[in-house]
Amino acid sequence: MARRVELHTLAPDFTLLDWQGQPVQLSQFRGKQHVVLVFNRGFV
Amino acid sequence: MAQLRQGYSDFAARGAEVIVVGPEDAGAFRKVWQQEQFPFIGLPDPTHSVLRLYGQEVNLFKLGRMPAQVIVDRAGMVRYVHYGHNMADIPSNEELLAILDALNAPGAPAAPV
Repeated sequence: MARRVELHTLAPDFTLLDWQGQPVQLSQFRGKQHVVLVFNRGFV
Repeated sequence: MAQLRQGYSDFAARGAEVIVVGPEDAGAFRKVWQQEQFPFIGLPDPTHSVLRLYGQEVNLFKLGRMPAQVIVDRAGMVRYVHYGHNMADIPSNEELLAILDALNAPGAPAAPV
């Protein structure tokens, strides 16, 4: 069973480069916007 | 993801950004984003670091990754988690928007502390 995030806990922070090469960090939205994270199953 | 595009303005109106994380590389994302003109953020995760961090399941018997959705509020807290049990197990925009409405309601637990 894979690890799962728990409700009402701090979301694990991460940084990834977007497809244009710009870094995107989850915590950069803190205090500004909600974030809807969508984990895609793939494009095919 | 067409569903997300249709609802993007509704998400934005509720103060939310939409981020799609997937296992493909940047080239595959670029192709899809340029072709589809998606308005939301696309994050290639070819090493699966974030996909693993958030526990996206890989079901070998169903040939692939199960979709998952997580809503993180302005305070950085996880307020909604949905792990799909099959490829089509994706919550409607209405369900996600209702969560955001609740987060935006006065007195909601999402209020900054």
